[in-house]
Amino acid sequence: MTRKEKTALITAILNVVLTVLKFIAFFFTGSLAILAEAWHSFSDITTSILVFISVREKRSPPAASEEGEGKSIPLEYQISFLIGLFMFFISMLLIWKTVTGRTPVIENSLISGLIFIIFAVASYIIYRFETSVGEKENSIGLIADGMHARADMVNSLLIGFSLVIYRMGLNIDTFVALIIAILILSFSIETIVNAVVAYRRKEDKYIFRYKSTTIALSLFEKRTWAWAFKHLEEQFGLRIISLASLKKVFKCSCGIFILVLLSTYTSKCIYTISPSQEGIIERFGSPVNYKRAIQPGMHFKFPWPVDKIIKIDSKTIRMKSIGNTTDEGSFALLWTKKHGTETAFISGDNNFFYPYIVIHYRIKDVFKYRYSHIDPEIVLDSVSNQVISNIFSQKVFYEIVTSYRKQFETDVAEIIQEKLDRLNSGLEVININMKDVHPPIFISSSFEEVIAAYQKKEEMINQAQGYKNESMPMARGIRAKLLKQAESYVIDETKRANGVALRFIMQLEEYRKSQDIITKKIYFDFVKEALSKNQKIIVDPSSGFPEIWLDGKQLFKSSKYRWD
Amino acid sequence: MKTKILLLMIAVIVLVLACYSLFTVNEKEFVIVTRFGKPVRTLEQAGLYFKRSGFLETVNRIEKRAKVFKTQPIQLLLGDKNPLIITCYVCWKISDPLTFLQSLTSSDIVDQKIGDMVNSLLGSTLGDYTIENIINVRPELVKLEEIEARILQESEQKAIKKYGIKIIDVGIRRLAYPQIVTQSVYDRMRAEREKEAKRYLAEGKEEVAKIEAQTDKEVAQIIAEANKEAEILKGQGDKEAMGIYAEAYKQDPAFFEFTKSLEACSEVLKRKSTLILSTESEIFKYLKYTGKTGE
Repeated sequence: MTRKEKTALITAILNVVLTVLKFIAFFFTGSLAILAEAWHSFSDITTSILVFISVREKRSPPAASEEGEGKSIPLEYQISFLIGLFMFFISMLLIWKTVTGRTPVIENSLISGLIFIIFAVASYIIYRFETSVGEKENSIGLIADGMHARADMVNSLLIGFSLVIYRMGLNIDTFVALIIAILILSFSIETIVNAVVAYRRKEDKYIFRYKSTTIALSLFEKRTWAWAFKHLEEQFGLRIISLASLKKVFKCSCGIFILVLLSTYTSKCIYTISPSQEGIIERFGSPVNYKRAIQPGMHFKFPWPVDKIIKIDSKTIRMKSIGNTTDEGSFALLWTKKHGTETAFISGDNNFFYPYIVIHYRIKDVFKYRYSHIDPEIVLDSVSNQVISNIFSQKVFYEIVTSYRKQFETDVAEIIQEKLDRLNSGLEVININMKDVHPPIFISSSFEEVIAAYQKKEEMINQAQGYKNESMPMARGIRAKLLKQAESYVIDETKRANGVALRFIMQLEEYRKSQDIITKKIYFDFVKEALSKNQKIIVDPSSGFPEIWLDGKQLFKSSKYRWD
Repeated sequence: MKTKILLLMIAVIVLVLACYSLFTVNEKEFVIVTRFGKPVRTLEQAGLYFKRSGFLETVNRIEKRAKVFKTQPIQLLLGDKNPLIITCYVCWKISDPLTFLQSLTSSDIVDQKIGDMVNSLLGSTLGDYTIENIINVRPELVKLEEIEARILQESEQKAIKKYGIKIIDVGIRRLAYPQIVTQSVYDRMRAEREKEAKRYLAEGKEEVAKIEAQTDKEVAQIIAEANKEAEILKGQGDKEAMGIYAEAYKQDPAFFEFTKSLEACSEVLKRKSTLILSTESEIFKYLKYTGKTGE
């Protein structure tokens, strides 16, 4: 192995180590610039390997003359072309990342910055080493690689510097990353172009003929294009009309492209606001139409980056639940069943209960809504919870459930609105609905027992009323009966009296005519009647008192109807 | 050609520099421009601004809008040794962005610190109040607003100096009892309900007794009234009948006496009775017939 070979090999190995170290550094810091630099080092490895190969091939005599025919592309060119393509894509990715990505937050910036300064020193040593060996051995490849190492040194220094000043509060990481990405891009283009050119000219040695600056400048020269078209015609038989007409086509398409770009840009000036929305225009971050929101319709604004339109759904009515945060809305709200995730409130008479209150609100003032609070919904939530728990803690539970319910809704809406206005929330409470209030579920049976007792009370009273309703007509019936009986008695008595009196008078008439006879007749009729039915004992006084008459005298005395 | 390219490059560089040195301040935020970490300018007005020394200055955006957060629920003892769990909300915003930036805090850390401060103020303030001042059916005794005002005032003084923030509002958003108290409240509520149920039943019985007694009374009254009327009616009937009898009988009282007494006797003798008659009685006059009729 010659000195040149050794040198090339050592630099290649050194580059591998550096690349690995840089990827590790990216892992620890998160700096985009370091990532770009790591890919850049990766590309350096390939160059070093190419240099190594070229150096080796120089030693061995040119193998076969067929190779010069251009039938087979030398391995060197193939590899460098492929690597050029690969690096091109990597650089594009990196540029995309730096342009669109957010500014990264870098950790361990100071220590990695110092490490990168050490890398820069290492690159410097490689540069000195390679150039000195290259000059001695007269190897252009080594000298070129040495120059490349010097460029690396600049990169490393740049990164080290950016990391150190990041520590001081200045973030230029993406900027540095962009520079390095552009460097990789130029390197990749260089590699591709040189590989192609070298192949075309059938050179046996791979050298960097064109630098990226010369490539970029040649794009603006007619000669290059003329050569390219001529070459294309010769090689592939493509018929291109002429350079002049091609130029026209190119200009035309450029014009169309710019036109399309411009029209899409200006179309951003027109915007619409839908019926439920209101808009705010921010010109450089400051609201222009202060005090008057933009109403629905089509409007005009300046395009980005001057004006920005913010559309807010201000007319939509929104809802906020207090006390119950999950309601499926599918089952009946019963006292015996848990309604969802509920929060207990305390009433003034120290009872727990679970209200379910729904607040309907909307945005009253879009400016206040957007600029005075980070999250106005949380303001509403806090304020309404405060007001409601405050009011509840002053009321009797049964009032809340029954008579105060209606009043509560208007009271709370008023107080919440007042507080929201004081806090500049820009919200408007439309109404408050107390959907449900219920006692704790495991006590609700006690509450239902009270209701059952109340029902029982009503039932008992109703039964008593029934008794009353039954008794009164009965009493009235008795009354009527009594009166009718009395009436019939009167009729009976008077009629009888009439009859008896008439009979007496008629008897009297006859009696007066023959007093004696009638008296006797009546008397004997009576005796016959009276004595025939009864048991009789007939006694002859002349034969003395019979023995059975023990109490005879007394009997006679007490007897009303004595004969004598 | 080369000059054109040079001009183009210069234009690109200027554009890039402009992009890096122009910035906007939104209405939602304050901006403090720092140069190597040292605050240079504070921008409170929204609009387009220019960093004077380009790359060297950094833009720090600080929230201008107010923020509301919920404090950690805390169990406290009131002046009358009653325990209570209180959750507050605090509404604050940055009033002095520079102090806020220099105190190197994030908004979440401020939340936590203000939360701790408010909770400690709650503890000291509530010592002066009793449960009667917080939960009471008599609104004139409830002093929640006074408590909130006191905490707001005291916390405001502390916060503005330390963190450059202004506390806009402090409120008690939730009151709760600790677990043990909760259980006893539940028991009491249940007992109250039972009491209530019993009262209803007793009231029902009372009502029933009243209604039934009233009914009985009214029924008795009606019947008594009816009896009275019936008697009067009967009396009138009797009177009329007697008048008729008297009218007839007084034409011959002797005959009346005779017929009436016989009638009465026959009425009496209708029942089973035993008569002891002397053979000397008038009816047996002819039993011992002597042959002559009459006297």
